[in-house]
Amino acid sequence: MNKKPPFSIRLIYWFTNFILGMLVLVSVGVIVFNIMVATDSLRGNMQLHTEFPAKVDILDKGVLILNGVEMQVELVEASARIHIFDTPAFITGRIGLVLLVVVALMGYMVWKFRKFIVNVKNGDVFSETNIRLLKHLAYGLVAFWVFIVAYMHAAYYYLARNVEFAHVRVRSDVPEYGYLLGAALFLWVLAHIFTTGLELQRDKDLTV
Amino acid sequence: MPVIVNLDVMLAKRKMSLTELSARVGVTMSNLSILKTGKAKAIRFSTLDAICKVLDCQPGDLLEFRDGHDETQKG
Repeated sequence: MNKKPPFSIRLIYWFTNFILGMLVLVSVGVIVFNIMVATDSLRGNMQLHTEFPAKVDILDKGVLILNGVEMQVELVEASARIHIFDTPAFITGRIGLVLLVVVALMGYMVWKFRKFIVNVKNGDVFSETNIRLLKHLAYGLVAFWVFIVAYMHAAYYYLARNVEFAHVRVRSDVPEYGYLLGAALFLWVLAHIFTTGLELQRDKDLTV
Repeated sequence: MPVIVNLDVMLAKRKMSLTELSARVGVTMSNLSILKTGKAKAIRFSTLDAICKVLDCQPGDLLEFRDGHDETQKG
């Protein structure tokens, strides 16, 4: 099929290529980081600044000016990031492995998605390959969800639960990332829609 | 499918090749081959109309209902 693919497909194709390129760079960075951790090249000079799966209760009053009206407001809670000064090697090593798994899973999914988009761009829409790719993407998202939720619970258990601050109270806020499961379900349903599409395509191809 | 396509019979009767039919009807060889080998799932009225015109026959001469006929057909 020589027909030019629609703009949306070309746009998502270039966007996917860009994301894949960035991911390759990040992967190289993560691999280098893990090698440095494994060979102790960081010499313990690691300043970890990371997501903190908790919310902090901050009670502070302030002023909001909107449309010329001055309102009294109070800050009650905020999301948190944490900076661990001179992060010990056992934490750095684990974070390196987590990053490696995250990058590997994301790379797998972006690679599969790119293959799917290339097929669609080439006019090969309803095919067994695309159905398989969509299912793999859905399973990949579920695997990513399982890993990230497990990691966040572990991070909460080991970090947030044991941390103490003088002026703020830390409380559990482990994100559940439900949207990942929603996206996986959507892709899985899409794979079944494509199965029906493939049957219709075959019927059309065998109509003379 | 119990409906079988007798295109090869009609072609033999009219002493016409599949290539010539393809050129005169405007349907690709591969599509006519699908029809001839009984792999087709459907046939458009426009295709049937064109074939009947070229072969000077009726749709009934091309299609035949044979009860108990299975998927595999003559090639």
